[in-house]
Amino acid sequence: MTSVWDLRALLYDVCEGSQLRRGAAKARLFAQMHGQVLFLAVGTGVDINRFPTGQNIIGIDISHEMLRRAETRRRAYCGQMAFVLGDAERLAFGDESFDTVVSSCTMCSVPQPVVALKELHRVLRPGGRLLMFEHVRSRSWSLGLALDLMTLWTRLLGTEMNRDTVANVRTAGFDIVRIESVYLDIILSIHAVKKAA
Amino acid sequence: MQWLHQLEWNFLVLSVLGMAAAMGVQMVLAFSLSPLLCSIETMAPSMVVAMVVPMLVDVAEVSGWMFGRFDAAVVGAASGFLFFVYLEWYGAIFRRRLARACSAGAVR
Repeated sequence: MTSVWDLRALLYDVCEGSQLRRGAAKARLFAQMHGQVLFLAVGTGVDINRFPTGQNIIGIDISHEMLRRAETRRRAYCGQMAFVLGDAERLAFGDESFDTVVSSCTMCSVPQPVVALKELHRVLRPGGRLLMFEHVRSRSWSLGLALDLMTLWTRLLGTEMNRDTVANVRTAGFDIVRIESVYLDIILSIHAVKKAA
Repeated sequence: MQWLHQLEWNFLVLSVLGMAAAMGVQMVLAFSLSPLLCSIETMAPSMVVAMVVPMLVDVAEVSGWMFGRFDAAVVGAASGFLFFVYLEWYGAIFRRRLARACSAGAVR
């Protein structure tokens, strides 16, 4: 798993770096970060220039190579940001450590998304926000089928195009507050909270 | 798909192979365009058109309607436009449903 992402790090900026179509939607979502923030799968840091300034963020990634490449962007960020090498399914943080957890195109690539989401639920404080920018399977039969077929290929690179992330978020115990369509019902901005105890 | 059709193999085998080939070409295109479009999931609609239209042309030819390259291009362009209209409609319906669900608190 790690080696796939170390390999993908080589082309990550080329394939994922464009903010042309999604940058504004991501910036709107990230603007809601507050308090101690955990950013999941920071990659080469292509999203960092969309983060609101002055935040206190810990970015994690499973790939050492990704984090190495993200270092320049981390240093350029106007706020506190630290990187931790880690797996979303086994977070090395204590319970209720964060006020906000953010993910961007991550739940397509985590082998066990519900396990990872339960980990996010664990590290989030009661009332804390989960902000997700994710692509999911379309409910249109034709688009859904196309995404299923694409997954036959993309799975080899560690990405599943046909996950039901909204259902997974609910299964992990979150309350979904709002969902925004970024591109049809394929790319969604998901706002969820951990129920206050 | 038409190339494969010229091999005169079993129609079903040719259709599956043709669609797989169309999907392969689309995936290469998707990865090629990803620096501009970002990730490849936004290519799903064009993948649908790229897989279905050659199939339509092939089925029509098997049924006795012979298509020249220009005709096939017109069918492709028309299908692409129709699918674009469908996507606009589908996107609007989905956004309206989301807005209604959010305002009613039903998203929870």
